[in-house]
Amino acid sequence: MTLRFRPHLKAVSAPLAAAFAAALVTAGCSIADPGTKTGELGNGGFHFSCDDAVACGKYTDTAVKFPDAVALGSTFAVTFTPKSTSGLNITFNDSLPDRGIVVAPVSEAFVSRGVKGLVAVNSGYAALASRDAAGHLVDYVVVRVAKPDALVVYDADEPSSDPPAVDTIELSISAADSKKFRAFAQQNKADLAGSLQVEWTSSNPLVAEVQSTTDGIATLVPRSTGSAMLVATGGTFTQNVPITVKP
Amino acid sequence: MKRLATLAAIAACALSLAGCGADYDHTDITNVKGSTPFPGTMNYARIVVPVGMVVTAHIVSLDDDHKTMATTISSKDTRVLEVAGVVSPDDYAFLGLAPGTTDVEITADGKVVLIVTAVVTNQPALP
Repeated sequence: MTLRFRPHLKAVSAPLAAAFAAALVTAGCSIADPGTKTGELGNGGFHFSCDDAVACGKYTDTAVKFPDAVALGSTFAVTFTPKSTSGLNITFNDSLPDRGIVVAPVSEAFVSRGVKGLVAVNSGYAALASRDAAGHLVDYVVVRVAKPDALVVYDADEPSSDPPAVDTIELSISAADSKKFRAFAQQNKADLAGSLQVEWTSSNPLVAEVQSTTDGIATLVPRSTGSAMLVATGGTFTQNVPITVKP
Repeated sequence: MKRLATLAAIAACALSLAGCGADYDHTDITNVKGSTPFPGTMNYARIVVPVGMVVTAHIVSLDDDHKTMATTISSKDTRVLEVAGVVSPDDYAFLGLAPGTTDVEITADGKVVLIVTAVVTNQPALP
């Protein structure tokens, strides 16, 4: 790719940038917002989001921090808000929902673009670059992709944002109960961000069966009395949770 | 005396034909920045960027009148290293796409003035 020294801001870009900055201020957004990490070049702020309330809530929207690390195998999204000061030669495209400011990994070696957002594919440090509608680099942020050494299985119906880990599961045939579970990842006992793609299986589906796994939530239903193991595999790590099904 | 005047006229003519305006003088590479934990480097001979990371620099070519020249910077192998313009003037980013070696060519007013070897390195393996 050959780049030419660019002339100064096109006349049309200045009012657009000013209008965008004004809209951000009106909406109460600025790079000082909680949950935003200032880019390495200081040209704006990066926002993190993902869809698991427990694994992502602490980093998403009004959360107080951008994650240092995401779990290998997880999915997440990062958006960018340009700094609302003049002087930057940013090209906007108002016909696009994100106004043409796109965040993408510098290399697909560690984070790639998937259908549901960014996917952490290898352990390492990944620079995520925001580019304007003309393809110029506006800023970038670095995130670590970490291989989990533990999966925390939790009750998906637990309302707490910090639910306890589920160590054992008890189900009752007579109550015909079912339970829902999700899992998030840890490394060295530190939580890893990102919606982890977890594969759920039962060691004995005749006792307890994983009926469905929708949006990362596994629904476990009892079939007969006995013991089994709920097996959660995600981020190259497996966690087993003993199941007891009573009459 | 007549011969001397003729020689002077020829010399003046030659200088005029050679376009003795401002010529390329030098390129300044300043404000080189990477990011932790693998910052990378850039100087006049070499760029080192870990794969997946970014190195930025302020690069300006100047003529012998100390005026800025139109500069282009390009990577010879865009599978290894991408060169991207930054939204701030005269700033460029070097993006490590895949491990390998290539050349980065800097031109001033359309002429190649500097070729820098670029190395994209592997990141150390993480636990």
